[in-house]
Amino acid sequence: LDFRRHIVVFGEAGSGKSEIAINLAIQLARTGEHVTLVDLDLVKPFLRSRGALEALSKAHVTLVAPEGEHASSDLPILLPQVRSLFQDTQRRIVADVGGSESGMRVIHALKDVIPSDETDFFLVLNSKRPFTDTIEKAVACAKRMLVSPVVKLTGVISNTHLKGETDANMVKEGALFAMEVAERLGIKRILVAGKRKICEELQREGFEMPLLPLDIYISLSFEAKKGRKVGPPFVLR
Amino acid sequence: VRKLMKGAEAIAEAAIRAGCRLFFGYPITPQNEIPEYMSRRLPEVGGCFVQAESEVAASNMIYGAAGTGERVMTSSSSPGISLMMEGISYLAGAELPVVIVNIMRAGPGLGGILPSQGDYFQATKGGGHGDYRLLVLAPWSIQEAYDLVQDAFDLADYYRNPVMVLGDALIGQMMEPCEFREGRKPCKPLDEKKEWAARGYKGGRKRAIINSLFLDPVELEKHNQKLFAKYEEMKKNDVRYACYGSDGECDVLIVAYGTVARVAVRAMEILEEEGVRARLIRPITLFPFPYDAVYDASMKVKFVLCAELSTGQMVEDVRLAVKDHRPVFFYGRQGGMLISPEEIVPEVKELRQKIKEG
Repeated sequence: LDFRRHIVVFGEAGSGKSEIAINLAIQLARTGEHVTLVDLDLVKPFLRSRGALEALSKAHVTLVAPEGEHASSDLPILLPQVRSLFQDTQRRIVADVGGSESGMRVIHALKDVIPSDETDFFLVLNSKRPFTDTIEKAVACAKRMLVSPVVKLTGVISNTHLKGETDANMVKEGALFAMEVAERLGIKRILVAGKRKICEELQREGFEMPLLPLDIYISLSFEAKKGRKVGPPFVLR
Repeated sequence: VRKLMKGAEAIAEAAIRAGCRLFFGYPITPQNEIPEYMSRRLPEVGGCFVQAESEVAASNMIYGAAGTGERVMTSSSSPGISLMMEGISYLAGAELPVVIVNIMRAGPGLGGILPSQGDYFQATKGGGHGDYRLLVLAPWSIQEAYDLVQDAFDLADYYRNPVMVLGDALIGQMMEPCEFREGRKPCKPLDEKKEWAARGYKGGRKRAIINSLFLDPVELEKHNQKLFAKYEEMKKNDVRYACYGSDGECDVLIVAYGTVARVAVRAMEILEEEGVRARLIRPITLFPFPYDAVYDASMKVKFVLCAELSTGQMVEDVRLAVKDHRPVFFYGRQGGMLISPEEIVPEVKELRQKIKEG
């Protein structure tokens, strides 16, 4: 977990930024650091990082996100304290920036307070998502998102998955995909994200790229748990 | 090809792959990703995306475009669908095939932006003025949303009637793997000529007039009966539903549609572990409603529980189906609150106890 002071996580809508931001914040907090997770998702209406409030507070991560009725609104709220949080030199921030290039404009609005050379900017990439499923599309999408001079891309997080259908091979293929994209963008640093179990499997195999094991914090009550199976319908017209 | 799709994106991609090249709409949460996706993809395939100045305008634009016989879609969420109701009634009256997607949010009024199933009445019992019906399809997964949108275009063309795809906000917002199936065959025989469509003379096409105005009462009554015959054919031939769980004698029959049915499946697994036998019937077409299937299924249970994200709408159709032969109970949440499997389980157990005690 060798990062600059702040970590900004961004990427195409649905690439898995929120889940990764939550995991990074919690993993850093477990090493004893004071971490503030700033939910800058001004675009997506729900399934955002503010949905993991309980897990975050348990891990002593401070969550900064709209509260009360505004927590479940679709208003593009940029909380005024975000500016001062970035200016606080004692603080480590993980920022979850939602929603593609339009979502990235919020970073430009904060350009005077984000210390560019003390901040890691990670592009999250899932090659199973429709707008980043070829190298060309992924590179174009990354370039579209670099809307502000303050954003100096430092790394790519490979997050290729198909939810419950993901296996170690898919994660490996995704990592190779991310490597090519990173090369085209002139970036060397790559982290390979995957569910904890898959990361452990890759580690046993001697997979050489740095891994970011994920625990899933934002999920729905009906999503299948291992060991429980949903029977097939016996009548289907 | 298998992709990780957000429901809204899958719906839009399905429409494009079904041959839809025209989309008119107006943004509203939680379905903005449908018009966004369309605005991005339609120009790539030679289509046309127009953001209308309002939902009322969008519903009239789809009227005009559908009049040419092209495949047309609009999408919105609850308050926006209310605004479209005038246009939808005209579309039904003029027998125009369009696909309308409603990703429901909590109401009434502006309500909130979280999931709801509060538009069941509006979708299945009319909604707009006059004597008409929409064929209503309710997916429970992203894959099914993709498949049903493609069927929706065939059904709309076949019946020359608007078809609504009705999903709660989770169907719009959640992500799941989705297969873009190749080589799909239409689910209905299609009339390629579309002689009713206003496509210009082109060296001999008959004059086509698209209209819902019939001032002569004799003609209007005939027209109403023609529409009614279509709805009867839908009831006869296009009822869709799925059953889950045991086919034998059970304690409870759960009736739920959309994502609530997914919650019910999970609840049934817990119930089974705790010795309660449950089955589930999931209407896929809400109009036509699977009255017979619900009745038949209810005959093998002691009681029926209908679960919805509303204060009780589909439960009225469940009661019509069961006809007092079994007690019918209701469990609902509102305001954007979801039902959890852990809520359904004690509800079923409590009801079972009550029934046992008479």
